[in-house]
Amino acid sequence: MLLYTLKRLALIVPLLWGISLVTFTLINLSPSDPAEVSLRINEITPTPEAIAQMREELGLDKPLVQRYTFWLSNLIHGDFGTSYVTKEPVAQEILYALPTTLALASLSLVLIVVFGLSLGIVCAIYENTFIDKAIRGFVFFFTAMPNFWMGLLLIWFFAFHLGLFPTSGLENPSGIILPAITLALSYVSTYIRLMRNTMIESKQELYVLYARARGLKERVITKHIVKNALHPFIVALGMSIPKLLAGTVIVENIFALPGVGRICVNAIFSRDFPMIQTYILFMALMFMIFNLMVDVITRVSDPRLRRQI
Amino acid sequence: MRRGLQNLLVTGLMVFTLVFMGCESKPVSQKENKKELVYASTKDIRNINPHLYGGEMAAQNMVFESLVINTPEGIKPWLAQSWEIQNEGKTYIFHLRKDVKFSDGSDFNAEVVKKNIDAVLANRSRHAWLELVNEIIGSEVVDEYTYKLTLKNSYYPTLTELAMTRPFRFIALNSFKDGATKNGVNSYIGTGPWILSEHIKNATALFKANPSYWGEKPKLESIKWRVMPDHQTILLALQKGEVDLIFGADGDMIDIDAFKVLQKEGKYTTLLSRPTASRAILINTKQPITHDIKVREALQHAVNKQAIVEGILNNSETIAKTLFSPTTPYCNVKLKEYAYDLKKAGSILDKAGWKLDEKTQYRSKDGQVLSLRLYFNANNAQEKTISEYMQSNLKDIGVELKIIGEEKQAFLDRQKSGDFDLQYSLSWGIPYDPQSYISSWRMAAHGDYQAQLGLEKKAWLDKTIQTILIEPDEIKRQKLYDEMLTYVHDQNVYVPLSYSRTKAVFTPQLKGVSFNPSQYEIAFEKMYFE
Repeated sequence: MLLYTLKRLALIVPLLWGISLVTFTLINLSPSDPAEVSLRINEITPTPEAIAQMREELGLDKPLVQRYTFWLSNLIHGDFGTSYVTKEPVAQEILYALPTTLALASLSLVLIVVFGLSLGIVCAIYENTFIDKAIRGFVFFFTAMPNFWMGLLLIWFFAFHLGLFPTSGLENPSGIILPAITLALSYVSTYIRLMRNTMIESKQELYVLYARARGLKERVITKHIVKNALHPFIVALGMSIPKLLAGTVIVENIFALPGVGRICVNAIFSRDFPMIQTYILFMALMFMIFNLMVDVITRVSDPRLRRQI
Repeated sequence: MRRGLQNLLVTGLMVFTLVFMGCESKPVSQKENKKELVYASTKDIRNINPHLYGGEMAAQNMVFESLVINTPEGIKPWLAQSWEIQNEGKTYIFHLRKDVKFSDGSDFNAEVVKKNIDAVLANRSRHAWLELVNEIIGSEVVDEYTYKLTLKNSYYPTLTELAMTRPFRFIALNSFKDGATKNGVNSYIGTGPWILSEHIKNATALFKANPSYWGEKPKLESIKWRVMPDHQTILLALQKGEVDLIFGADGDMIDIDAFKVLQKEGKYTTLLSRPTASRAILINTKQPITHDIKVREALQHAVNKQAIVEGILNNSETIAKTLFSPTTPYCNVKLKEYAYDLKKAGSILDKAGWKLDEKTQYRSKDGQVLSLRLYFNANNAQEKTISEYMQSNLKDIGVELKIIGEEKQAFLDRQKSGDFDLQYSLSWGIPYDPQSYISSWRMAAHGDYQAQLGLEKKAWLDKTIQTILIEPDEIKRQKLYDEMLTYVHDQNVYVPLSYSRTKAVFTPQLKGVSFNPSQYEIAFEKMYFE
């Protein structure tokens, strides 16, 4: 198991290198000249002299290969570069915004787990009854709504009408609740359905039949079914965490949260290459880490998988 | 088992609801004494170094001040209490106020003025858009409160440009970094009515009233600048009372439909400024089809501006008959009017050899279809709607208009390359209009320059603009403006659509809301709650 984990950890390095190469090349193929965009963002007329000066300042006057090696060597030394727009270190900008995104994603995750798991179990137990259909219909309805609309409806009802929350911002800590619900709603139905379907499938398994034949109580049997249905749930959840982190931009915009999503979208619009590259690398790293974590957890919890190593 | 689960579910839901209910018992905005104004902006204030362009102008204007200010009545004294213009307009001597201090207690004097102006000039290429920067050849301290500025030519908009929100504003020497400001500043210490006391990036900025302000002190204690990127959220926050003021031009803070709804509801006070900037369609005279002046003239008659202003802009702007509104300085020029007249447009095209193909309903000449491309910023819903409407307008005279929405940077790249038939153009408004705007027509990076390249007298046009800017004689200058504006108008380079106006929506308790001449400034210091 330890060997497996170490092997997977070692694989992260070449993978990240590959990703860095691809993102660097692709981003630099963008038709807009970042020097010009940087001038425009700062409302400076991009005259040929100003462009030349900016290109030199941003190091864009050097060949692509040289720029890549320079960037990579800095990266290895922990220097992620300086934003073309704000002139602040990229790592500092991202770290400044990260806590908001992390708080949002964490609370969403809690909601997804609590509601995905509990409602999924309820649906499976009450399979095809009114409760099952009502829950699924309800969730289907809310998941089908686009994020931004859902967010606005929640603000309108809970913040404006009932006055339970602030409409936006984080001046009041409760400001995180509505955005977390908005973000969680689009995921919850997937997990309810996943839990429900896996449990229903498990009900047909032989071990359930034997358990019943042995006269075990329904509560104990359900416990076993839930435990077995948890694996796909955990796997899917593990991959949803980085998705949650990366998918906050719309919610951050609607609820005026100063998170990483907004920084990234602004960086894309203003061709802030160092920021975009760092963000992509960070997200790639998140996907790899959570993928690894899920694999390790499932192997630890399922002896059958351990034997396959 | 089932009962247990049911109980668990019900309890869970109850706990969840109770947690939510306990979260906010009173609205955040219920201010006890209404001494703080909450202003919602889609943008963060960012870096408000007054000598650079990275920050929000409204925020820069709150903290930093200029020697003179632009008012509807013209230039008025500000940090300079008087000035003398000598040497045929090439020398300006400013007599500074003696009672001004920076918010850190340091003195404001001629030495500070010189160091600030020198800091701006040390970064000339960054200020290329502003002709004054290229005109300054001398910056001297005469005595402690007298400062002398020497120019190459008698550049007439000198005082107007010194009054602009940036870059000629004054920051304390203690804020300078290594004796300069071009690479950033240590702090934002100004002489203005507000002090930036807290800034949480992309979230809020708190400006407190400057207790040692030399002028009339603000009635409010503080201004909270809240960053809310979404327009709908801003509206909901306004309705909930979390926000007191929305202010902005060109749909960047509040869209026209929402503005109209709020105006109709009557629960909030809504204000519209005088016409500020010009919204127009730029026709590229260098492209094969639009090179023909007759085609450009036909387009002038084919666009139904009234329908655009009434139907799309909801009457929040006024119809533009000429590129600059007659209220813009030097622009009250008698120019011929182009009425909306499809028949006339059709007959002009007929005469120019563009014949209508009954089958396709489009005109063509020598096998070439009369097809044009109009580019717009895809993020601007209003421009998209106007484009679609113009598409149907032009179809009525047999012109195919392909409308292409592009991401902002791609749109601006295209402007610079000149690869367009038609493009949107929005001037900067007073006090930048007309002088800074026409000055930019001489720069290759601007769409205007590219679009004018096909004009027979483009070289004359650029030279005339240069002459206008340094012509000391008012009458001669006006005459040159007349000639220049008439030429551009008669050449049909622009299809003027409307004159945009700055909009303000605020709670009825808020008083003293007014508009500065510049659409980019907000006069917070005049506002108060009743």
